[in-house]
Amino acid sequence: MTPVPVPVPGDRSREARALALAMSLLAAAAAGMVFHVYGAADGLEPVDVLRSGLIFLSTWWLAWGAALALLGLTARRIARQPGTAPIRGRTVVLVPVCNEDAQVTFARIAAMDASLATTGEAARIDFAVLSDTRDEAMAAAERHWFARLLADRAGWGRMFYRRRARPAGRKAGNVEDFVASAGAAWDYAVILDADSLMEGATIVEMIRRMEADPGLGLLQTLPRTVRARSLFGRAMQFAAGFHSPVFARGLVALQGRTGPFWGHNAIVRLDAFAASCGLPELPGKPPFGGPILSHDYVEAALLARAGWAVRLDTDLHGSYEEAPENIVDHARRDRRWCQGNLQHIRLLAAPGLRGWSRFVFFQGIFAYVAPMFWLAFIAASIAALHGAEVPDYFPQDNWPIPVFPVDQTPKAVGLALGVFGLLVLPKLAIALQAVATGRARAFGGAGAALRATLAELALSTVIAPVLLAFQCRSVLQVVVGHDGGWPPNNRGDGGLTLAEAWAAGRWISGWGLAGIVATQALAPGLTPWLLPVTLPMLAAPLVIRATSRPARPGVFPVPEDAALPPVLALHDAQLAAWDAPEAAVA
Amino acid sequence: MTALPPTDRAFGTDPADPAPLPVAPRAMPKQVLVAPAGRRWQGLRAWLLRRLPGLRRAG
Repeated sequence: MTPVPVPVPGDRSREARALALAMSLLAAAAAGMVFHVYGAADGLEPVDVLRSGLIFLSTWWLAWGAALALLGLTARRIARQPGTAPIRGRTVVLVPVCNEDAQVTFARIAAMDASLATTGEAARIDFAVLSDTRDEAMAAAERHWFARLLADRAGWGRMFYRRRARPAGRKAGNVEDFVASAGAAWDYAVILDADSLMEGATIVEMIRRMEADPGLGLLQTLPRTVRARSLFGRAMQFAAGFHSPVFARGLVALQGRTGPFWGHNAIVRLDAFAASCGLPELPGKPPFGGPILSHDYVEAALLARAGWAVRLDTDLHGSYEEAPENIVDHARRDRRWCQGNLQHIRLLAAPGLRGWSRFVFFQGIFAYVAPMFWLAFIAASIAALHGAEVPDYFPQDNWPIPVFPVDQTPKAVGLALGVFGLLVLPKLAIALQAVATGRARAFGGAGAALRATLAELALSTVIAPVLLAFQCRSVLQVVVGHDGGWPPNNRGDGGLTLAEAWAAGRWISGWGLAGIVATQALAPGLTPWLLPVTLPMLAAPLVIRATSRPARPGVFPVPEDAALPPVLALHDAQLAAWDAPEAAVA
Repeated sequence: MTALPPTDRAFGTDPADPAPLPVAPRAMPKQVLVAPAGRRWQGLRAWLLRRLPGLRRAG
């Protein structure tokens, strides 16, 4: 089928892209220039040029994020009227699983099915569990709980299960295998993760939007993080609920017809997906060759290459996911994403891609390379100060009055404040807008939302150096050719013992200590400046342990605390029913 | 598609699957993502020619 392009009404994405790029490049250029003047005050050295370049690149990345927030804060809100027309096409909800807790996962399917039943459209929507589980005991549990699901939801003929004999190509291969063997039975597929939950009304509305726009190949929702319990998880959940919608609206302003795909909580048009998204294995061995890990970005780019629109609709609510509960699980998932995004270096020049798709790949790569620039900047600064000459206060012979060098401290402080502002101001601006518009009421009220914003900023400041260490290690592992594979996600309460935290973070402590000792020995003037980085690194095991502990009630409030979404309540009820003694016997 | 009778669903990867998927293949051709070096240059040249009319006149 050939896509039927439907123009996006009032599409200003080209102007928005130019504005965001210009703003971020200007901020980066200003930071680079200020630092150049500061560094060259005692004579221009090659290391000063290097440091100015690193500041330019690092600031650009921060400024790009700030520009997204600014666009999101100022963009016109798009709120489409929910449709009422009966849906015509057939849809399958795909649940790929791999060594997951079958009872919890299949209870989610039961909850979504029950939610769909209230819409009157359930007859045209089926479910398919696509299992790549290797563990035989877990596979047996899947069969057991799937049988329960079929019985409880009368799912024969509309709920399917298949387990692949050979799990080639990981999740993308799993979905591809489904499309190749059974995809012609449906018009649309809602692609989920094992921890995804969606309200039935949201699924139906997504189908209606696909049917209203025959040129739309993929529609992505912005999932809200739910069920977090640890301090780390609650902070991430608050940020995802409070800040992410604004950043996402900024992204929408830039997307045009080339929006994102995040791999789950999205709907695809199956004939478009089948015709455009067959992923080849990249030549060579992993990490840069082999199966494409971050397949979702590539699939979005391929749909756009074939002329299909890919869209993120931020006004679609009722879409949920869970997230890692501690830094170690977050870093494990991030390791996979890092390898997948760096693999996109191979695809930057892929034939026929839209320019924006290439830029999205570039952004994904840059997100992981940017921490390396900060690290390189710190190292170069220590080297520069170590090699700095002592100022000559009497440069002219026989001149009794000392000549003091021009104090450059205000420039350095100004630059540091500017960089800090790029990090902090977007979140503060989002909080103030939420208070002004009343959105903060759902987050416990204005006071609670502001307190949570400040607490999240403080926690992020402590966690950031630890995450930076994990990210840098991931990048270096990929660069030296180490394949991280596809480790399964840990789900559960995420609490870590001190021994587990020590095992995961002691190498970061070592680097933090080495950083303090090296700075004190080579450039003692820098030691206090670097303490915000080196101290959290030194205390990494404690940070990891403390943030994995359960959060106090009311910390980082989200709307779901006050009113549990219906599909989550259905999930709880289903789990309670299956946990009852007679269910265990069955 | 309406609910399929069991006979049409009796095809799965694993005979132990409790409710196998229907047999309804849809072709999913592999896409070209890494072009050979020669084709890459041809693509770049075509892109430049489209955008730089002066280059077209020159070449």
